[in-house]
Parts: sequence; structure tokens; C-alpha cells
Amino acid sequence: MGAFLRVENLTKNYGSFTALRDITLDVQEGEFVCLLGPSGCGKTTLLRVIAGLETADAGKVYLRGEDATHLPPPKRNFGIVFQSYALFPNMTVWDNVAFGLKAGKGAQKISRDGIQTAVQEALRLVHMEEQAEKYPAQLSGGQQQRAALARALAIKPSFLLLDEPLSALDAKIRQKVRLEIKSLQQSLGITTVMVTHDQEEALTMADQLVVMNNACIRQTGSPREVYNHPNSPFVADFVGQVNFFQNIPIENQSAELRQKLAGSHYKLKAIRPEHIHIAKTQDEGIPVTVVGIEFLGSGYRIALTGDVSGVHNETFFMDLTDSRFRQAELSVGDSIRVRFDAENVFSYRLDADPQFVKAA
Amino acid sequence: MPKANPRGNTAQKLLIWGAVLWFALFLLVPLFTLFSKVFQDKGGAFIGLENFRSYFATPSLVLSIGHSFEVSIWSMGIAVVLAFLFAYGLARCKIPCKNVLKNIALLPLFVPTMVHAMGLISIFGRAGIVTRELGLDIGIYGKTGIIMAEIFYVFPQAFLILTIALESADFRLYEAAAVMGSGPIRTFFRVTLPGAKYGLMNAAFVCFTLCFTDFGAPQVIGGNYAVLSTDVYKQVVGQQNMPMGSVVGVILTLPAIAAFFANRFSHRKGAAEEISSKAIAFRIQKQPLRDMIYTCFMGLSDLLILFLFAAVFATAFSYKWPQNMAFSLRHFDFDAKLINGGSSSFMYSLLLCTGTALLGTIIVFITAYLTEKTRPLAPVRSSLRFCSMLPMALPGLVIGLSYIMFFNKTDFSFFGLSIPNPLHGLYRTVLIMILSNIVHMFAVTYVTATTSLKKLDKAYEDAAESMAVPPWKLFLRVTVPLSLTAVIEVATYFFVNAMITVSAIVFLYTPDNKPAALAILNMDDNADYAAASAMSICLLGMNLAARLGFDALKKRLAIKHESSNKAAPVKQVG
Ligand SMILES: Nc1ncnc2c1ncn2[C@@H]1O[C@H](COP(=O)(O)OP(=O)(O)OP(=O)(O)O)[C@@H](O)[C@H]1O
Ligand SMILES: [Mg+2]
Repeated sequence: MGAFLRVENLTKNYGSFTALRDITLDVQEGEFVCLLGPSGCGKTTLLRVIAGLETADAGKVYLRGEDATHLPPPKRNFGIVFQSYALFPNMTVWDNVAFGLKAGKGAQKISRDGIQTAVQEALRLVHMEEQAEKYPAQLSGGQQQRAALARALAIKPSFLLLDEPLSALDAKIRQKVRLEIKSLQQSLGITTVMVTHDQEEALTMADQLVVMNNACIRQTGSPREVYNHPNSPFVADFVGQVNFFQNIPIENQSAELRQKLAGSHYKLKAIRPEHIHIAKTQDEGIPVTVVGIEFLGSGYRIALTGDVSGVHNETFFMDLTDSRFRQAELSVGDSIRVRFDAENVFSYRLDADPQFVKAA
Repeated sequence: MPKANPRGNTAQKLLIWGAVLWFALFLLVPLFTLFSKVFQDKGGAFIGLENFRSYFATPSLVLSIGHSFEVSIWSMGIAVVLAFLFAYGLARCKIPCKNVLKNIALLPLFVPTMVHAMGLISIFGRAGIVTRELGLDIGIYGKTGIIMAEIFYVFPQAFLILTIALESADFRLYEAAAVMGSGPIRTFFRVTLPGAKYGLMNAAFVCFTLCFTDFGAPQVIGGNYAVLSTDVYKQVVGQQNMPMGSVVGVILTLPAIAAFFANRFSHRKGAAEEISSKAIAFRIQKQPLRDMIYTCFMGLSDLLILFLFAAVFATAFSYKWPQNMAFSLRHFDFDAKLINGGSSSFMYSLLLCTGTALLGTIIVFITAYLTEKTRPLAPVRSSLRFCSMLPMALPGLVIGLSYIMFFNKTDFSFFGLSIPNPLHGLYRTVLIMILSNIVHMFAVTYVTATTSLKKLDKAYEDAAESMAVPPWKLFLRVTVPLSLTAVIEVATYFFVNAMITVSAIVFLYTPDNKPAALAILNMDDNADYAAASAMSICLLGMNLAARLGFDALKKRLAIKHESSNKAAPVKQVG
């Protein structure tokens, strides 16, 4: 079974600037894919190439196994929601949603009743039946977002493209809409590609996560895979929190860790703050000093300094749950010992992403 | 690039080429015809630079170049300074009845420049009230008169540009200056002036070009003081010397084109310095002394303008100004003076203005849409953009002159091959005047249209495309409705200016089809100032009525949109 949507060796240049470099990506039918990456890395460009709104300089786009590289956007049958929503301010929500059905190329085939039902159905899906007669300016941000979604769904698209659909919303509404979109997508089973630069959004919503940087895909995989096995320092750093070390000294570590680290030429080590723990005994782990305590709500982030990899007074972070923190009764200035959770140490070559290598 | 563009909308491509054809036929080819005329003798034989040689061998003609520069630079300098003060009062001071003060100062925009000159003649002329009653002759005919008339003409344009520049300043700069202990004078020179730099340059450019190319005022009040524009007219109409007329026309165009490129270049360089969207609007602080000084200045400016118009009114309504000031309507009986073309010229003007507004608005908006909102043929579209802005540098006289040269040709010969001119049929019709007006006013209206289109979300086009909605449907259902204010503004501009323009049509009208503005010019040529003033007043009335009508329309449409935005919550309550 081939992929529903396949992008192959796409390259896109704006003049001498490369916005996409050799991008290859498979999206399965019914899958929710998140494109995640820092600002300017080419997420929107990739989405627009998939939509046909932008032409790539090289590479192919396949829809259901057929070459769609030069297919004009209307023939690709997708719905799209923009960051700005792009609702037509001179039309009511109802007219906005009906616009594609009334004015679109296939309009003659749809009866008036057909339009009525389709619009109603789309509005029902996003719980906007009540707001149908309002103009976009009379809606809240969240409602506008849902109206835009209804407009995209009304044409019964075979896949959905979302460009940062939540970034204009407040944090609270964002979480709510996030759940709504996800459950709507699951109940419709509609293939969806969403662009975001918010890692939490990507981790919670995606079936497949695509991490991009500098016009390239750095890693694809399930959120769990990407979070637990980042393939590069960049991904480890961009998805979640991470501490980098060079040459973690092996003498004081457990036998298991020592074995893992010894003789490796993967000298850049990374470990997430939640995988650093307070040592249980005095001869375990390495001595450090607490230099800061940050309350995170659900727990604490402790800033520590110590000579971990031979660099004097390196600062790094350890996360503690509320109960652990209270147990330890830490305060700034305390000297403690910490141990690293061996199986959760990531190893990379020093030249993988040089920006993460600290000068010794 | 071997790739077929999937977004290559055929209809859009056709329209883009259509716009190219429009500019080619009604701007570029006529201009080319004019410029090639320069190298021909009266019979059409090629004579190289001979015309220029004889031009520069005629001292009386060469003198006009200096004259044109002299009056333009004086008018520009004085007008920009006065306009800056006026704009400063509007944008930065607490002044009572600001709107009234502003609207009075806009009055000169509603009449031809000839009328400013006529007003001055009624006051300072040989038979003017000041000359007769006070025995004071300031020698208004010539340089002084032209400069004064031009100042009245360009002052409103300059203060409009400068008000926008001063209003869009970032208030945070002023707060920062105040925090650093900068005094008012220092702040003015270090913050205010640099902030208005581009506005000032733009205003100077507009004033210079308008004065340099203006024809009405020098024709009426210039006397023996010839400038380039009156020379063109003299050569073409008086002496029927087309080649020499073209030479003067070319000389008239060159400085305007140079200024045009200088202005464009400086703006491109300054684009990066534009005010950020985070700028905070200027908050006007009360300063009684300053506010009083500015109120007086602005009131005085308005009084001068009103005085000028009062002189025109007095001339029109007196039995014989200024000897017999008894009230009389006899000068309004236009049909009695058969030679001057009577009330029919109003109907003709109305036709001309309506046609220009209707056709012009459509062409300008489609061109703006094509350059701003479509994607195919990018290099072609950027040359469309250039063609749209080029008329800013073209004197109306030159456009008109190039039109007669191009459209009265019955056929063209290429290397012995004779091809009939398919557009010859337009010659001597109202349509050719309409087209000449549209091209003449293209740049200003195009800027209004593109500014409005640029404010619309680019994603509308993408959203429509995803829904398989064809672009023209989006254009009619969304783009145009959302740009209605700009549409009306453009139509108003076309209408009002078609009413007052003489330069672009002075070579194109026929005695049977004479618009009101040209009737004024004729009456003035016959020294019938009273009738000319009477006609000017009718013209002013028509223009003000049109303006108010358009404004009311704009307000109604705006309120309709707004109330539809606010009605629903009210409906829920009630
Ligand atoms: N039309 C264009 N012309 C030139 N450069 C462009 C154009 N569109 C995008 N770019 C450049 O391509 C790069 C990728 O842009 P893109 O919009 O895809 O970024 P993004 O990942 O969506 O970023 P963001 O999170 O900020 O939206 C950017 O550096 C941008 O400056
Ligand atoms: Mg983007």
C-alpha cells in the first residue's frame, strides 16, 4: 500500500536562497502529520508546495500514487486554514462556508439543498451553527478559527492543510481547540498536515512528527520516537529540554553507563533534565552545587553547576517532581551529588550540529 | 525554467497582456510618435537634431526654459514651507474647527488653475480692485502672478502629503527625546524633520512637477512672460509648427522625468527606514501659545484662499467689475454669447467626467489588481507597474500632443509598407479626451488602488484557489466589495480632475465638443473675465456637488458595512 501523499526530493529556491532542500516525506491515509521547526525553516513553503500554491524547482509530489507535481490547486481537492484565517470580512460565516460550494468550479453540480446541507454539516462539525449569521469581525479568535476550519471542510476535501492554525489564539483556548481539531480529524479520518512551531502542540497532536531546520527535514517519526530518540543534537534541543556535555567522566558512573560511553567516538552527550536524579548514596554520581531553583507548576527545574565533562563549573538542569523536591529539601547553595540515567543519554558526533558543542 | 506553472491562469495572462496593449497603444506608442517627431521637419522627413539647433538658436524660446525653472522653484519653495506649517498645525497642534480649516484649504483643488490666475487678476490686475482703489500696481502679469497662482494650486496637494507624513510619526521617538531632556527646537530638527523627510521630498517633487508642467495659470496671467508650457501651445495652436511644438514638449518633459526618477530612487533607498507597524500614534499635547500661533496662521491661509474665490465670485456677479459692482446675473447667460460655446459645454463636461470616472476606475482597478494580486508573468507585471507610475512625470500637454500626432495619422508606413491606423476613428471624439484624461491621471489613482489592494490578506487568493473558486469571482465578490472606499475615491478623483483639466485635452477638443474648462480658457482668451468667472463658479458648484455626492455614497457604504458588523449583537438584545 503506497502512501496517500508522497513528496520526493523537493527543492525550492527563492533566488539564491534555498527554502527547501531535497525534502522527502510520506503521509499515510488518515494520518495527522505535524511539520515542526524554528521560524523560517521552510514549513509554510513545504505546505504551499503540497497545496500547489507554490511550484518547486525540483522534485515530485504524488497524491494517491499519481504524479501531482503540476496539478493546479483546485484539482488537488484539499481544504486549507491559514494563520490569518483569511475569512472574507464582507460575508457572514454562512456565506464564507458556502462560498466554495456556490462559486467553486463544481458549483453547478450542487443543488441549493445540497449546499444548505453541506454548510450546515460543516458548521455542526465545528459547533458553529449558532454563529452562522455573524460577520467575522463579530467573532472571537477561536470562533474565527473554527469558521475557517468549517470553510475548509465544507468542500469535502480529501486532505486538510493547516498553517499554524492556533498561533493567533490565547494559551487557554489554544489547548481546547487543539483537542477539538484532533478529535474532529480522528472522527473524520481525514489526512492532515499541520505546520507549527510549538513543540507541545506537535507532540500532543501528531501521529507523525516531522522536524525541520534550515530547509531540511532532520527527523521524522512518532512523537514518542522523536522525543525519546532524537537523531541529532538539534532535534534533541528543539523537541523538549536537553543538557549537552562533552566527555562525561566515566569513573563515578555506573558500570552500565561506563560501558556505554567508553571508547565511543560519539563524544557529544545529551540528557534531558528529567533523566538526572539525586544520588542515593555518597559514592554515587558527581558532586554539584545548586545555583537556581525554578518553579514550573507541576514540578521544579534545578540549575546545577559542577565539573561534569572537564569543563569548569558547567551549568545544567535537572527536573524534579514536587514530591521529590520536597523530599530533598533543596535550597540555593546546597552541595549535592547527582547521577545520570544511563539508558537515556544520547550520544552524537561532535560535528553533527557544531553549535551545540561548547568551547572547552 | 522549463516548468509549466500550475498557477498559470489563462484569463489572468490574457488580461495582463491586455494591460500591456493598453499601455502600448495609449501611452508608449503615442509618446514614441511624439519623440520621433522631434527629428523630423514639417513634411515628416528625417532631419536629425536640426530642430534642436534652431530651437537653441532662437533666444526667445530658450528664455522660457529659465522662466519655467524660476517660477517652479519659487512656487515649490514657498508652497512647501507654507504647506509644512499648515500640515504641522493639522497633525500636531490642538486647533479648533480643524476640519473646516482643512476643507477650505482644499477648495483650490476644485477649479482649474486658470481660475486662481483670474482671481488674482480681479484683485491685482489692470482693472483689479487693489490696483484701482489703492492705486497699487504690483505687476501681477508675468512671473509674480504665475508664482502666486501656482502657490494656490499646489498648496493643498503639498499639505495633504505632509499631513500624512507628520501624522504617521512614531510617538515613542518623542517620548524618548523628552526623557533625554531634548528641548523643543532640538527635537524638531532631530526628530520631526528627519521623520518627515520623505514626505517633504515627495511634496517638493509633486509641487515642482505640477508647477513646471502647468499650463492654465501661465496662459492666463503670464502676459509676455513665456514658459515652456505656453510655448508648446503657441507653437502647436498658434503657429501650427508641430515639430517645434514637440521639441518644446520634450524639453518640458525631461526635468519632470528626471525628478520622477530621483524621487523613485530616493524612496527605494529609504524604504527600509519606513515606520514600523509597532509605531504609536502621535498624541497631541496642549501648548496654548503654539496652538494660538498656528490657529492664526491657518486662519490667515484660509482667508487668503477665500479672498481669491470671493474675487472670482464678485467678478461673476457684478454688472461690470470693478467699475459697476451692482449685482447682476448677466454673465451667466452663456448662450447669449454664441462664440463661447454655452451651456452645452456643461453637458459635454458632464459626459467627459462621467466617462473618465467610469472607464478610468475600471481600468485602474484592473491594472492594480493584475500587478498586486496575480502571479503569472512577473517581469511583465513589473513593467506594468512602471507604466502605471510613468504618467506622474508626463505633462498633460505632452500627452495631448502625442495623442493628436498618433491618432490623426491615417496610416503608418514601415519600410515602404503602409498600414492603416486602426485607432484613427477615435480622433475628434469624446473618447479620445476620456482616454487622454485617464492616462494623465493614472499614477495618482493607481497608487490609491494598489494601496487599498495591498491591505487585503494575500491568503484570500490562496483560499479561493483551494476551493476551486475562479479568480474573477473572488475579484467581484470579495476584492471589489472590500475596496469600495478606494473605488469611490478613485472615481471622485477622476471626475473632479476631468472637470478642471485643460492641458491634456486642449489639443483634442473640437469647437462643437468643448468642455467647460476649455470654454473658460476661450472666454479668457477673449478677455471676457466676467463670463469666465461665471463659468468657473458653475464648474466649482458641479465639482463640489460631485464630491459631496461621492462622499455621501462612501459614508453610506461604509456605514452599511459597519452596521452589519454591529447590528447582530443589537438584534440579540432587542
Ligand atoms: N516569496 C518569497 N520570496 C523570497 N523568500 C521567501 C519567500 N517566501 C518565503 N521565503 C523565505 O523562505 C524561508 C522559509 O519560509 P517559510 O515561510 O516556509 O518559513 P516557515 O518555516 O513557515 O517560518 P514561520 O514559522 O516563521 O512561518 C524564509 O527564510 C523566508 O524568508
Ligand atoms: Mg510559516
